[in-house]
Amino acid sequence: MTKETHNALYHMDTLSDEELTVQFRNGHLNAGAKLYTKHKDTIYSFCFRMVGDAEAAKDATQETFLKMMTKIHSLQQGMAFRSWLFAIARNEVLIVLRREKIVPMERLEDDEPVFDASNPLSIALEGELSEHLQRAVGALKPAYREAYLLRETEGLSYEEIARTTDSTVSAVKSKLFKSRVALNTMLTPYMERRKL
Amino acid sequence: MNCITAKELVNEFLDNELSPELLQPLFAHLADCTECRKFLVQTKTVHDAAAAIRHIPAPAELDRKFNILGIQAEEVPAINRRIAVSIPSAILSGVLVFMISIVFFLALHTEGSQSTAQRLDSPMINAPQFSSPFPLNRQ
Repeated sequence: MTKETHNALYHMDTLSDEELTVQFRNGHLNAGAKLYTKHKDTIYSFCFRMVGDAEAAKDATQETFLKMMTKIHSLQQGMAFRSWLFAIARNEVLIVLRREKIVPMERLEDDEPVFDASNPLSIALEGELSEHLQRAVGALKPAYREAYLLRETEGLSYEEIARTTDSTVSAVKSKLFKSRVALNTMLTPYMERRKL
Repeated sequence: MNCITAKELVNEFLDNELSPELLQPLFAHLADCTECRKFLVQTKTVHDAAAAIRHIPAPAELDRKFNILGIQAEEVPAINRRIAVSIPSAILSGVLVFMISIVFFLALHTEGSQSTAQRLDSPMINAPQFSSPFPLNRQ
């Protein structure tokens, strides 16, 4: 190990994802561990909110990180690690959703409802808005839910969401807009009652 | 600008993705349209509530699986690393001090015995056996 590498690993806490990726590619398992530790909660939360089941979310998260480790060499130089990792997680989520026979994400028509009316969502008139919001997000159709979660809870830009979901920026804008209109509709009774 | 376009732009405005040149037309529309202003307020309220949504901690079982693969999932915090380094150092230092004490004790003990033996055999115990060039007249 060169002195430079040793110093870089010693100061691993200060390294960016891209720098850690380079270290990991060069065979430093500690860098891979750091990437895992940094992103495990984020990826698990995304998977859990997408599939709605703890066990399936755990499996999807595990597969995501196993693929991260085995396919790290396919990550192109300059490509954002986070978007790449979310793209892997999204594929794992898709596998679960297909297995569970939930509507495939690819088949979305413009006139299709944004949220699932069959989903038993009853917005109580008490409690915190964020709690109700989480339930309302759970009622969104997967394609809308993923765009909303990637934007609102993960802070990805439109461009990054488009890359992650293999889509276009205009499609992302449209999904976000429809998601927000749907969420406003679902949460309006609560907000009016609470005078928010 | 119609209301649908304005609401779409509200969406981009909340995400800080709105082009600066569209800001003025949007605000002009909002100034005149109660419905779009209501949409902005509602969407902003929900947008702020979304910021309170926290990540769900990944189950510890995942860490164990990655540990088996040789990946130390939980990094030892810096303070623990210091403790981890200092505990063996303290033990080693203690052992060294103990060994040095024994060596000193044995050395002193041996030296003490030797000096006693030396004292017993020493000619200094008896009167010095030398003749003075200036003998005292003991009369």
